[in-house]
Amino acid sequence: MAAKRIVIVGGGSSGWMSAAYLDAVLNAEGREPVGIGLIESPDVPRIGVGEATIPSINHILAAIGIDEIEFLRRVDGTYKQAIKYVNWLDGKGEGYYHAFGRYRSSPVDTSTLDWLTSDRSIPFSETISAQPAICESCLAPKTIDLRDIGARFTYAYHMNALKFADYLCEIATGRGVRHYRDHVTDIEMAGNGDIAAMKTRSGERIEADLFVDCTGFAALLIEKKLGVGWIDCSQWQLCNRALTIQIPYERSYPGYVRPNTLATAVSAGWIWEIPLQNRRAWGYVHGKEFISEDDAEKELRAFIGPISDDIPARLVPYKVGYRAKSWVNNCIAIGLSAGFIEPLESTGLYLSDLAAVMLSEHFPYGGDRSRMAFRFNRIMANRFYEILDFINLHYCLTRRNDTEFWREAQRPERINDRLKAKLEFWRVKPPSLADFEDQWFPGQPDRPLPDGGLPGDHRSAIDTAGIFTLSSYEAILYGMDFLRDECDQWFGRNRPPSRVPLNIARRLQMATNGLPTHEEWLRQVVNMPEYQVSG
Amino acid sequence: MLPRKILIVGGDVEAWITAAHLHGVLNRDGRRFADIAVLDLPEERTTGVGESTLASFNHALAVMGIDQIEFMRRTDGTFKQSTKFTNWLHADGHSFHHPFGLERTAPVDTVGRRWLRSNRSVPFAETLSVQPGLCEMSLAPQMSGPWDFGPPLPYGYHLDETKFAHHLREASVARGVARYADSLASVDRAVNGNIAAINTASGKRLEAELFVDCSGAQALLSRREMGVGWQDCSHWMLCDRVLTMQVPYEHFYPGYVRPFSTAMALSAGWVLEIPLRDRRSLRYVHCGDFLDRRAAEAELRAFEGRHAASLGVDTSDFKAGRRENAWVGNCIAIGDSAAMTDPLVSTHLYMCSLAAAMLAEHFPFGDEMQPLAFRFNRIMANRFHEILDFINLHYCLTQRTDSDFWIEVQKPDRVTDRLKAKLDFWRHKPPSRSDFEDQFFAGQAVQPLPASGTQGDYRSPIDTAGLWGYEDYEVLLYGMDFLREECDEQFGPDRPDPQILGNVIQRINVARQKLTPHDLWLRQAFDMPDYPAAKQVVD
Repeated sequence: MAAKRIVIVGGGSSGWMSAAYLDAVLNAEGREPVGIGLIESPDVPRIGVGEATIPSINHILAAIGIDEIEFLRRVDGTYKQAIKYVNWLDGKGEGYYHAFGRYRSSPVDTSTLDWLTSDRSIPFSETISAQPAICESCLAPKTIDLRDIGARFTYAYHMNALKFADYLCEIATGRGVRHYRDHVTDIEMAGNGDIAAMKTRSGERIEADLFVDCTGFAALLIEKKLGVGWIDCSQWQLCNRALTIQIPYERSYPGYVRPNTLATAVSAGWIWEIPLQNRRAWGYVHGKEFISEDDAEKELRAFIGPISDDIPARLVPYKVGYRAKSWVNNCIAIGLSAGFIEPLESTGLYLSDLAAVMLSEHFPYGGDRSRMAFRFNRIMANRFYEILDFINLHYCLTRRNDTEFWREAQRPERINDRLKAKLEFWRVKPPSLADFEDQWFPGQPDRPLPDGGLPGDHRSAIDTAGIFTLSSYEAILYGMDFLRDECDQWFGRNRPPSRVPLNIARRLQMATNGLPTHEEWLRQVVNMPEYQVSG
Repeated sequence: MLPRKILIVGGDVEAWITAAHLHGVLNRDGRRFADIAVLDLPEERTTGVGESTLASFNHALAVMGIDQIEFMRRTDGTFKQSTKFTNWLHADGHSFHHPFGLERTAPVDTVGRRWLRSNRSVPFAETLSVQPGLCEMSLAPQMSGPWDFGPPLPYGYHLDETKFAHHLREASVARGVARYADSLASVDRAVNGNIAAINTASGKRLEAELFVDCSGAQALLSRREMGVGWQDCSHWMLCDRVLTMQVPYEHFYPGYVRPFSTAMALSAGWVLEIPLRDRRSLRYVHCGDFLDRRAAEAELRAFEGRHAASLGVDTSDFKAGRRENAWVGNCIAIGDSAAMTDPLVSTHLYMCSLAAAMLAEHFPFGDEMQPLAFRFNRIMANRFHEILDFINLHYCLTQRTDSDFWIEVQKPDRVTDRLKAKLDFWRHKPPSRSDFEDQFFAGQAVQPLPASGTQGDYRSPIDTAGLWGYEDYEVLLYGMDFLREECDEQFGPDRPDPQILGNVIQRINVARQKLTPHDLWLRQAFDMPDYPAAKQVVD
């Protein structure tokens, strides 16, 4: 009854992350060992799902036992302390930060109220975190000898996801995870609806108790074999493909390495800019209904500048949505096979990471597998919809009306009902911690989750702030000038100037004096080469 | 328009916690969002009941601007690091601690699963907390000199509730909270059904925009005036009567002041024992259907010992349940008017602080109140049901069969459906963090909250681990020997001794050299008299 063998099908970053994490957690501490194998097809190229991460990556690195510096060296990694959003509100060059770190006053946190009762003369994000200014100065989050300046800055990383997969593969196989370089040709079913084995081109028959589907959008196991449905969410996300260009620093190096992701709104979507140790990557995420591939490419190249001439762009189409049930019988979908949301908040790897953590927490040691699946599916659904709301939020408060895309993005039918209820509630009361205990607001319709043809928990998705908490919402809302009129009504029009709390000013000063630039840090600590400044 | 006028009706600790909280949050840093007044109703009792708090109470004190040491000085306060449960599993002296400090391993918490694979020769709580050991040694969670005992030890307090009310009243009035010592004669309503003003017995008319009902079980505003219904929960919390006995140290001093509360299960309930600086306060919380008052009193006296014969015993009744909607119109019920539970997990003051904090967080800057009430009620309902489940858990895993009461409480019918679903799930997978993300398990019935007069949110209550996470559930479950058979089956009979976390061992070894005995600490800090220890005789 107890699951003893797992086979992961697919060798991308989701597959190898699942392999390495499950091995580290399940086969630690004298537990009964679980055999883990991964089948990677030599025919299928890996997709790098986003190259930016969120701070939760640090948990999975620690659990696998990966040293941060070694990690950065192996994946061309750089630090990410924030996302900077440019041109999302009015399209006139304005910008705001969603920083990972946040200051709050204690015992009563008045940091937000201080800003709301002020005249907004300083951007909100700069009054609650030192990181926006640190990002503007392109500083590392720690010193060359790896000391923190004051409390540790919260950060994640930019990285080469393909190299990350390679690195995890090396770790996992080194610890006994079996690597099958083979192509699955057939899936053999057992009588009870479970998957019995993978049959491969080389004639092997690979059995297991649990099969993890990391085959990407192909979803060979969960969809093609088990027929579990896909919930389309394109109504709330207008973008459906990305056009990417990577430019090595040998070709063009700007003279700095930003410690943040840049997300700039353009005519029919937005462009990411992600710096690694050896190159910068750009991607134009857009809706094909709003711009042709040619025009998108022109716009992207104009944005980057002449340095991109003759470097080919790559088009990556995707679909936004979610697997009605990602754990069915003995098959668990992790990664793109389970769902995808555009990378605006870098949540691609996070959802795989979460799924691996949840699978380990709900590993069927002899218990009733369907109960584990029930909870796993609920948690993954909750989190998917939480991210969907949050991405939706970035678009729907725009005041841009310069293109059809931006006019469309703010139409009421493009805002999902739950987010609408949140926004409406927050126009009565500014968002606060208690709102995130169990998000449910007046007027919100009770919309059961789809059953995917299977029995389960069909309550509405519940947002428990598993990833985007009050701090994240505040960063976006006030970055987008939310509650301007309401504050006039509540607190009058004559309000004192905004101010930066002493703690943040002090921290910033310490940081400016004590922290190296991000580039210098990378050169000295992880041997990033010295590049000629150009372009 | 700001500031808004708030009138709090009721004079005991509930009212003054609410006033101090609202003032502490809304009128901070030179802002003035609220004009706060208290209609201080005549007090019913003069001797305060000994009450205890959770560790989060320190945050509440900070919000209220009350200094910890001054607070202890004024309330006969002592430290509480744990609650010790005795005779809950079997009536053979079996006991376990539920300490506040629970350490864990990182990045992956393996403590619970590891213990399950062991032979259980060390109680679970003692493998991950230094505090059961400190409690048994009667040590304070503080040192006499500067602290060098590693990470701070979390603690709550034991206190005299009436003295605490007086302390808060004094502080609040000094900060500008208006106080009317008067009683309620009648209530004026506005056209929209809201409360417009309260007329007092001495002829004053007190207008306000928000009215807080802290009038206790009688719920003068919420029930009597607004007619909000009451959801009875006595089916899952059988206890409905409390006998209170104070044992002054001058009469009988046991020779120590325990830095923890004790909950000793008796024939039809349990005795809560709270050590203060001048006395111990005992409460026999029991169910009247299973034990008549006289027999209960005899049992309590016998439990305490021969010296209890001359001590007085007070009786009070309560009905476990909650107000269907604590916030209706412009009237907000806080305290016993909003919810009453078995005092087993010391949540009375917590629920008052939470409600006051939630009112401050949902303070209407503009004119709309209904959406704020909607959320306030949901949060309070979630938390009430979380407490209900957790109290229920203490009883339902008992294996006692020596009295009808204990036979009754373990019947499946006496376990809430949600707790049943939790226990059922945990028989298949031990509790872990993600179970508390949004508790709902296979087979659990969707049980809407009752509708009251107002439009609201009728989804089932959701446990988001506002108070107790999986760590606390583990302590309770494994303290009550949960999953014994399942583990025997899965891991076999030959199992290793439990591992105790390294720093727990380290700290236990030096505890006596570092920490001060609790009674000595209290004598040093507050001039508590050096009572001679009495010799206990139990009949």
